Amino acid sequence: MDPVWLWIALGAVVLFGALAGTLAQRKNRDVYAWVAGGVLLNVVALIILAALPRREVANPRTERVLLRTSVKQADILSRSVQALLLRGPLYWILVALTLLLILVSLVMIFLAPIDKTLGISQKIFYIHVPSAWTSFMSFGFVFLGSILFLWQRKPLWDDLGRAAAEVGFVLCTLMLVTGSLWGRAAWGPDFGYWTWDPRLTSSFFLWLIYVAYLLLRSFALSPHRGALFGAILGLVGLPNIYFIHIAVEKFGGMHPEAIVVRPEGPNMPPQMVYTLLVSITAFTLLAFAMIGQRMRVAALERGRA
Amino acid sequence: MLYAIVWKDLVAEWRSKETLLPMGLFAGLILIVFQFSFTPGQQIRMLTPGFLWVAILFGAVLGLNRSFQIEKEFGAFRGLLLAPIDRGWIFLGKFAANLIFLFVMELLVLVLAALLLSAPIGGVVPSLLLIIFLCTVGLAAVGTLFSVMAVNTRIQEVMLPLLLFPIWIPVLFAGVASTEALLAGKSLSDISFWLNLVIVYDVTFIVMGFLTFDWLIEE
Repeated sequence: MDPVWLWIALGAVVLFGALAGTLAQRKNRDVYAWVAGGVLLNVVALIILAALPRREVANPRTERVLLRTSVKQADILSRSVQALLLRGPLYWILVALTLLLILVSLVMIFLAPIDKTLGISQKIFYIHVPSAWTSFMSFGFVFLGSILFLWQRKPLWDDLGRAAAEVGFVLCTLMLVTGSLWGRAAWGPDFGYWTWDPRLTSSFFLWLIYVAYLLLRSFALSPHRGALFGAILGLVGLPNIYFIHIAVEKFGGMHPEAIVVRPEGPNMPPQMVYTLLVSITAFTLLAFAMIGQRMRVAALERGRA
Repeated sequence: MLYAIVWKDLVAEWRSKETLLPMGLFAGLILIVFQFSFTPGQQIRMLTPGFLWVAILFGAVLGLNRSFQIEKEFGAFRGLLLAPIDRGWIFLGKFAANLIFLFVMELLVLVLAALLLSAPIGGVVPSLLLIIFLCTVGLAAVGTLFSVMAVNTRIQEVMLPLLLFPIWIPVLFAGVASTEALLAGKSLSDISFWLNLVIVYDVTFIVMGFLTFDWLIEE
């Protein structure tokens, strides 16, 4: 039996043992979903990792020869992404739709009612929530690009990971800045611009992972190494965000100074909900468009080099 | 082969003493600097877990920076790669060696903290050692993985902490929270959440390192 699978089995057993131990505590019910999600994510990530093809190892003892995955299938995937997102008219439709939706959401933001308790500062949510969502989504694309790159070794997937990291970094910065501005306005100057609330802390570490990814890419000794390292950091980063989230939730629970004022909820007027939905859609499309554009630029750069 | 790599690292360290000594001294120095950056007697006991873990983390970064640098000098790593084994085992060997170095450094830090900061660790040494050991497994696994990356960048010394700290954060939280709880007289069952978290973290990153090492050392 391949030692890799032994490790997977061992890992799965210990993971589920630990999960069972945590569940048996019957405390902190809210973190169960995160623990379960994280464990599931880890198992999936590890299985994918173990299944990915690796370079042939000259091993006289086991003579392990790894077959390339079916090339035809691989081509369909990358070609369709190229045709749909990067070359075809669909990209320009996407850009046009994005611009239109941005305009619509701007108008809607001005027309939406002003919150009674929070006042005008509540309106920053129409920027803050979508940028938070898209920065998490972008990290999902980094993860996806990393896996696909390690699987097929196509530069396209590396471009996807890198483009998503750059766009995600910008959106994550936007999320942190708008969040701080709102926090100052809503929580008052006593709290300043930043508190180490669990949610703030985990967003900050997401930002740090983006920074590390981009620095790693820029300072790697060779582009090939940079691509591989980035892919591995993308793989390691996603489970880690879950670990950080679980840890921060629990850790924050031990320090009750953190105050979470959450104005959203079921009693939000429908106009606000629609505005939020439209601006989330606009941001999502914008993120797609920017990632696509960055991938086009990367492809052009590679063509010239 | 695993033992061969560990043994090689231990012997090299015994002869040169160039990882453990600076690492331990640096960590001890951090403890002392902390001692002087606060007014004496000012809630210093409350801050002890934090001091301890910051010293451990910074010392660990220093040591891990050396881990693959010594392999790079004189092309020693190429020799390792020629060994007829799965590359994952090289990771496990380096990981085990790093684990031993870090743990020895932590013992030193713990002794220093007890002596210099008069940290009240008297009654809880076994459980404290358990949690420190579990955390160190995670630190060493992630550290080994990323020190290979950092060695292959232009700004190694800066790159390593930048990569490590965001990934180490859950371990830091677990370490600080459980040390705090233990020093406050709580038992191991009170911190089982953190023990579970750290164990899952350890297993995840050991397996990840084992599986991704192939790609890390590709030229």
